[in-house]
Amino acid sequence: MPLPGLRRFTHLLCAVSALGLGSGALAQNAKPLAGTQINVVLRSLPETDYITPQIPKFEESTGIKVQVISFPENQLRDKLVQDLSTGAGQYQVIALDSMAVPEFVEANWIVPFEGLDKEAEQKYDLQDIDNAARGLLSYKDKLYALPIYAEISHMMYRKDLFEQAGVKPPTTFDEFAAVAKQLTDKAAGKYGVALRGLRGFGMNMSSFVSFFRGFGGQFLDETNHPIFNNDAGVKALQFYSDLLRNYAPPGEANFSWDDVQNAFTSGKVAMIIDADNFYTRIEDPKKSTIVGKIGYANVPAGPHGAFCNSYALGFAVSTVGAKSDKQKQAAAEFILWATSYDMQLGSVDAGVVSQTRDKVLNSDKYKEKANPQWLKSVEESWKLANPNYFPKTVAWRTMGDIVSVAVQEAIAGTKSPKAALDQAATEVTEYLKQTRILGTPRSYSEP
Amino acid sequence: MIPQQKEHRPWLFLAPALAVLIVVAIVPLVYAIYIVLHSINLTMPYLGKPFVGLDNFRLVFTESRSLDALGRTLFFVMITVLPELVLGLFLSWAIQRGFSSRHRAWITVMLVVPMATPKVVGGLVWKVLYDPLVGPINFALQSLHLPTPAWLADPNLALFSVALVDIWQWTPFMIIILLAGLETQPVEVFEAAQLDGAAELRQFWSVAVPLLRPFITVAVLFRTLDSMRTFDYLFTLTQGGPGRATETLDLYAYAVGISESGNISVATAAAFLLLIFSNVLGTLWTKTMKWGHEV
Repeated sequence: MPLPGLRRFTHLLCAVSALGLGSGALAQNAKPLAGTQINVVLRSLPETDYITPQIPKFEESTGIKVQVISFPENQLRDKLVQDLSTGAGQYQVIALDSMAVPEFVEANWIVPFEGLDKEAEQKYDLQDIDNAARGLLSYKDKLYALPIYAEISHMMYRKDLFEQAGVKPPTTFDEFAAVAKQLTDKAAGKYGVALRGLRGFGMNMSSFVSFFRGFGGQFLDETNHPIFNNDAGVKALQFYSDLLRNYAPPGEANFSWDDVQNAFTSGKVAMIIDADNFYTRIEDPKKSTIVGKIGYANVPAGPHGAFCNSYALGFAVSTVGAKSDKQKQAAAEFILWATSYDMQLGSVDAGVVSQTRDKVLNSDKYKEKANPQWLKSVEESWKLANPNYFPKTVAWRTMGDIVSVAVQEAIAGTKSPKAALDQAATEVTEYLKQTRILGTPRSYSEP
Repeated sequence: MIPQQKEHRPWLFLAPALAVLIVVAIVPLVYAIYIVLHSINLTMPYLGKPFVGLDNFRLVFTESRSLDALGRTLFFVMITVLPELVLGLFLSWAIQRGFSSRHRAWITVMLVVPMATPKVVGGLVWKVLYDPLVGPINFALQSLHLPTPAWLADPNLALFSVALVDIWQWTPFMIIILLAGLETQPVEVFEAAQLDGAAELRQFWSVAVPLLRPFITVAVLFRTLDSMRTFDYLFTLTQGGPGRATETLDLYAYAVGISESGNISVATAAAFLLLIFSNVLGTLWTKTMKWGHEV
């Protein structure tokens, strides 16, 4: 799909870079964007909460006026789609999920960040941003947003319970199931494992796809026909639903990440696999009963290898909202400032753990704050991250939601894994037909 | 002879109200009709907006998912409004018979409390209560050595668990309307019934309930229309899950139109369907109860 305005925008970025990015050292008369108003949409997170109070500094150095609008996680996407699809264009800078990138690109709502000149690139140090995090925010080899936040999944387990039982952290699916079984004592209210069960393309799919990929599951074939209900897919769902039906707390089919976290911090669950940023809550004595008893390790591997769920929240320039050249420049400048090295390093003091820059992750300041075992596990996990963990296609959200229903049905026991996935494949085929995606070449490669 | 200008005057007075009505009701309705006759996908503007006629209705009427959702909506209305009516009748009778009018005023105030809670807040509170692992309900059941079900995660139980929340919040509404009805009933008829030897239950069933008919009609009508679009509880408690065990028609419309795929045309068709069904149900109900033809 051609992207009108792209060439122009990349030139603008060059212009921005020539001004000296986000630099407070600009002379008083070198504020060409002074008085430009931009609206920035955020999702409220510790990472973004750190940015907001710093904004007056940015406003002072550039003269740009910034208005922040914050939405909770589950509303962000809907609000953006409402704004962009109706052409309202109230926001110049938008925070968006890595999973939404293909959809927003194809709809022509965002343009790529590329063509920074040498000086600008050096100053911003794009290469310092973790390769995997950049991959998450890219589509068809072009980078569309710069990361504010990124997370990766790993295994968190109870060191004390493992010691008592004399078991080691599992490294394969079989070991994982065996340990889960051994540490489950339903009569005593003890459970081996908790993972996400609640439906949603970003909910239970985040956890399930680790197993799906590990068993060699694939979502679409080369001409966009669903194949997630083949043997590998069914085997993965059988494994996942058996695991949760037998060794997870009651109500598992409705577990969101929040429930997984609560089950773990209440001390009733021995192992979970979820996002690395759980760290701040599960190690907080006010919110957790298991502080200091937690071990961290990589996700276990299946016959096809180990796959971590990764996710990033990025800032992009809205083509609908940033109408004038000045607004585009101001929006780009804001993004480069907000995701800069200085800002990320500063956020470490505020207790932010989900950093996206290697230099910040390797800084003394960061190492001082983080648990070494956690840090090691997170670093290794990022090396395992695959940007195509979730299929990079416009169809993902709907397809992911439909498959997530099948996953939940299998956990709840309403349907067998095979029947649930077959039904999902029928629905996905119908959807792909309606949206004229079926039969077209696939836009990404399945891991 | 009536001067010409006089005839224009009513229109002049009506104009502001009509203008508001046109803006808030007619324009959106016309736009909704446009949407439903075309195929519009919010996130895929490159697909265009082709005219498809009634095809969106065909989809809603042939897909098992939407038909299930419609059936579930009607079932949900039944399992909420019926218990609310029965509880409302008995409790309002008990309150009217058992308490002096001063105490009744206090009770009425207390009854308003659940209704004053926003539905979303009610839903979130019940989510905590229902929590199978750390929730108070299962804690109590466990200490009594009773089974501890997964209230919202068990596909056979989830819709009933949500219905219970609706019953908790809206039975007071029934009680208040019916209590007001009972207050209007003349004491003489009950005295006469008593003289004829009618026991308490007989007085309730043969005298109070028939006299309450117009009040029952209104209360049930309100609750039915409200219960048909119980989005708040379902969204906070189950989001339509597990699987689609609690996906009602409005959640289906939300999923198809906004959260899942952005196909607002099919979603609008589902919304029209809901509108048609509430109208049909409402009309049938008021006809059955002969509303407007009171004794």
